[in-house]
Amino acid sequence: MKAEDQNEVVYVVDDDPSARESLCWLLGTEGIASQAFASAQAFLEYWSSDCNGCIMVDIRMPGKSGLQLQEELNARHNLMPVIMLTGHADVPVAIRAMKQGAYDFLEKPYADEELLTCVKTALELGREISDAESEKNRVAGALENLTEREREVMCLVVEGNTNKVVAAQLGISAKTVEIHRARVMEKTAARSLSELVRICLILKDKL
Amino acid sequence: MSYCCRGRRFSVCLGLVCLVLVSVWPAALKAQAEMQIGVLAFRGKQDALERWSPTAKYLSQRIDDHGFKIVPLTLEGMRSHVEQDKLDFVLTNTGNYVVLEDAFGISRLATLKVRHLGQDFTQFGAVIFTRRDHPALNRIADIADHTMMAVSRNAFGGFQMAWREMIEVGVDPFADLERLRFIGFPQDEIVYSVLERRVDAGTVRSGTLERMAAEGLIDIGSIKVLGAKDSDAFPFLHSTRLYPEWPFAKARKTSEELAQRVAIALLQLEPDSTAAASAFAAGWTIPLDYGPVHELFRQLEIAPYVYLGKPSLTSVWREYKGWISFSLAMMLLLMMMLALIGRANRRISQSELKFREEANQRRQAQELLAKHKDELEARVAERTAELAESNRLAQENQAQLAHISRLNTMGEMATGIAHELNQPLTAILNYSNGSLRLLQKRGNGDSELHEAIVNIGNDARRAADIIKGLREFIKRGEHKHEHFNLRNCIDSAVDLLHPRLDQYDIEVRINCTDDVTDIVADRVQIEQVVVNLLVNAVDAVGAADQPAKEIGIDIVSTDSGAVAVAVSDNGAGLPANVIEHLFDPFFTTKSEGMGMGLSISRSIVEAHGGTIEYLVDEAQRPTFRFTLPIT
Repeated sequence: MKAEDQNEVVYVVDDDPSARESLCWLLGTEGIASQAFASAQAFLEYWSSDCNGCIMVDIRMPGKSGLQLQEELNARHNLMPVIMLTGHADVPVAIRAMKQGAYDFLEKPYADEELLTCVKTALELGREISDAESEKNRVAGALENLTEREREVMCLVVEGNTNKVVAAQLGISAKTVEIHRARVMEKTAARSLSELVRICLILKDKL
Repeated sequence: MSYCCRGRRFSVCLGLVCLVLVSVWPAALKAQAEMQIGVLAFRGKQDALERWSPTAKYLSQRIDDHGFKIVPLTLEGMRSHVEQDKLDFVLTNTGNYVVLEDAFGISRLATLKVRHLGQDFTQFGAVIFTRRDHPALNRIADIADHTMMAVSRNAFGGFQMAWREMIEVGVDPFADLERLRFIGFPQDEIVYSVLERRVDAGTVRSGTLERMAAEGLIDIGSIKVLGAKDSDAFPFLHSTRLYPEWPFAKARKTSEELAQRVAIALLQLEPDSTAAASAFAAGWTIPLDYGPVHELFRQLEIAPYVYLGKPSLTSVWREYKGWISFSLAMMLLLMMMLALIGRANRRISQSELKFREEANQRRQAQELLAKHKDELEARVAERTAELAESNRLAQENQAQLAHISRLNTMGEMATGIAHELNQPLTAILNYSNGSLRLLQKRGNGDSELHEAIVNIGNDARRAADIIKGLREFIKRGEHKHEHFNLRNCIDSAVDLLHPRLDQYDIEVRINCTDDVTDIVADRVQIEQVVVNLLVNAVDAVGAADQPAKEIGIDIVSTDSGAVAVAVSDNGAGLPANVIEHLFDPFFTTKSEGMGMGLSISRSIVEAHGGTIEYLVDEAQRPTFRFTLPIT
């Protein structure tokens, strides 16, 4: 297992003790770390934005239901994929959960391969999302360091303008544009123009 | 000269005396002896003078110290002359005599002896007759309902005599006849009318028929006399009593002595004398009894009032002092009684008036009722049909709801069982699958153990399949997607619970935003949800002690394009440990409940893509709120 897997956890939220404990045991046989919670409320109390991995929630629970938990997590900008565990009758609810952004749902009792495939892909997705988020945070931090002029130059360059055009638009010399551009590359750690474009796309909303 | 002068003076004196005598004597003689004989001139003055002047002349001759003069008078004239004492003697018809005798005390001296067809009579009557071949008339009483003809109402022989006889057999000529005609004189016309069938019966003075037969005008054999009477010494046909002929009477003022001399003179009148002949008489006889005439008038109640015209006040007072006093006393008594009766009558008529008014009102009301009856019946029938139809629909709806409810309950039970069993089955499968993985990973080749664990998993899956099959066997039908008005749906759910709402006297208040009431869903299922929530609310407030029990239903649209229905009550609300398990199958706080209602409701709402929750609203009222997407 990779080092980064170590802090990946499957959070199991189910009011039925045997169901959640057996699930955790099964995940354990595949070397997947898990943590069990008896209610949505208990999990919400534990949850923080630092948690990594994915969440498996039984839709039907006393107190807050799986859907309500999901809504609450959405409100907290949770990035971990959520897998809904349902009974036969809960398909419409599961569909709603999907619309609310659930990653997948599993009908109890589920086949183990299906379960493990679903969990593994979810963890992978979680990892990607997490990576993207940290990259985003990184470039966002880098962008913070750009001066106003550097930011102007970057935006025009990313739009595909030559140094000359940029210089004409900003009313400065092409040489100065050249210097600003090198600074931007350096600060954002972009090795090429295409990489700079990608960074700009990620942070489009922040520009 | 002087003698001569004296002689001339004497002759002048004598001449003067003679002149005086000539001028004065006849006047003195007249004032002393001329007697006024009032005569009823029934055929005019001239006729009366011609008829009776010879009699006056005869009397003047027989009674030398008196002159007699005929004064022709009408009935009225006769009356006023007698009343003012202008007459000494009266010569009038039988009826008039009786009236004057009554009123002014004239008294008869002799009765006329009439000569008719060579025979002499002192009496006369009337004959009532028809034609011989008349089939219906045989007695006087038969005239009832037939037509009759007579001279006039006031004609003594020409009607009144017959009138009396008819009254005596019970026929009132003025009331019981088909028609009564008076045609006046001459009486011959009456005879012709009967014979020529213009009238059924007639009455004429006795002797008329015989005279007409003698003159060859009629055949007396074609006449049938009704109520014919047989009287000795009266040869003419008659149907009535006989009454005396004209009397010669004296006024009250005339002296007995003179009256006696006049009576003697009349009785001594020769039958063939000029005086008798010109009066168509055979002379005079001793006065007859005029009592029957009085009887007739009394019986017919006609004289003297009708026949005489108006009597003067003084004469009436003089004549009827006693009677008037008595009558006045009686009238006074009568008026008092009348006043009493009148008062009673007024009271009666007032109550009668009231009664009539009421009857009238009742009749009007009845008419009004009758008028609207058809319309009303039609409306009643229409309304009845409408009610029957809505009743049928309500029953259908209720039956459908009950059916769905049963299905839902079973489905929900199966779901509940499946969910509860699925948890351990899932656990079993987790454990068996995990065990297989561990066996594989650790390279342990115990195929027997491996097979047993595989079997555990297979049997667990089979159990899960059985449950799934059971659930699908009872599973709810596909939800319908129909457009309907949520407000109507809720109204009909409230209607369904009316008996229970009334039983606990609970008021239901519905607030609705109009624009969110049309939705697409399964109407019956949604109604089931509302019914379930209402039942819980009714149980909650019904048990409570509030004086004003209230259930509120608020229908509002939400920000996320859904409609929310909140059912609240003013009951005590739910404790926390109950709230946690509210929607669990088989969870209930009611002794008789199954604990499926809210579980089913949640299934339905969620199946429609909505949510259901319990909360306490701003007014601190326990509330169940469910949402449904509008499309």
